[in-house]
Amino acid sequence: MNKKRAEEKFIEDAASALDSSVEGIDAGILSSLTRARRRAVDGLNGRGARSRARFRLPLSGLAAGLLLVFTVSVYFNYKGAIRLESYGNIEDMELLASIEQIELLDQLDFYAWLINEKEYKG
Amino acid sequence: MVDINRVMERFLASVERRAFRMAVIATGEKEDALDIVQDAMLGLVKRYAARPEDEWRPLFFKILQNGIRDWGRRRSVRNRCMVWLKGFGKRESGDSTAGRDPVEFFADPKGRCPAERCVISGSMAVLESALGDLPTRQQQAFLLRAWEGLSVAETAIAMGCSAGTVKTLYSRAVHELREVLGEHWP
Repeated sequence: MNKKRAEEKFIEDAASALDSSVEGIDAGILSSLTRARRRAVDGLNGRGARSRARFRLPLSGLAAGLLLVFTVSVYFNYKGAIRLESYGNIEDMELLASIEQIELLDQLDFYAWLINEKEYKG
Repeated sequence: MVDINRVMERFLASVERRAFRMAVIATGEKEDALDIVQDAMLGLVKRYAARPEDEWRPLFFKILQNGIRDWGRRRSVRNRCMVWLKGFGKRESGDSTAGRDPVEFFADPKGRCPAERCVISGSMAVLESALGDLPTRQQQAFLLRAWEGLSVAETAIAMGCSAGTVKTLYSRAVHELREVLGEHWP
């Protein structure tokens, strides 16, 4: 009987010590618990309560996806720019290579005179 | 008509602090404990809100204990990976106070004198350490029966085992704690 009483006393003391520890929970934790409770109760009204932990994976997945899209778009824009630039260079090269056309421009007065002569004679 | 939102909120408010402390004792991590408690709240609302109110308590603690068990499994897998990767399995935490009794750092709202506070926080630290050393199932049985005040049948629901198993686990936990804490605790 004495042993049983001692055991009961021990359990009471343990419960009392645990109660004291609950009374000392800091304000930050209490505020987090209140927010968690409100979120849970919102779930009753179908306002889509979600756990903090469950938000982490989709959010990090979304962040990784956005980063991937950004990287790919930057990569292709860069390649496109290079391609456009190279088209520009090719046109320049063609212009530079077309020596005949430049000679035509140089002798434009002569060709104009030639046409006038033909019209006059003709 | 009874407002289910208010009843549920009152119930959750009545259990949340003890649930948080149970999770902290089991995990040693405040952030993880908060996640576990929140998941238990959401789980209760989602799955059991339609059940009678007197069934909520064991069901809530059942979800909580499952959450703690899942956390333990994830932690043990992570620790094993850490051992392989880094050659050590230290408990990682950014919080320098991890593993210590968080109550030590909080102001006493009852305004007790330092000597009283020292005795209480000291005895709680010793108890928490002893509880932390118990096997998880014994720890759960002790906290649910001795602290939360669940009956054997309710504890069996919460722990997902038979009433006989609860009695055995609880008896072993009390015996072990008395052994560790000694005759003169607190």
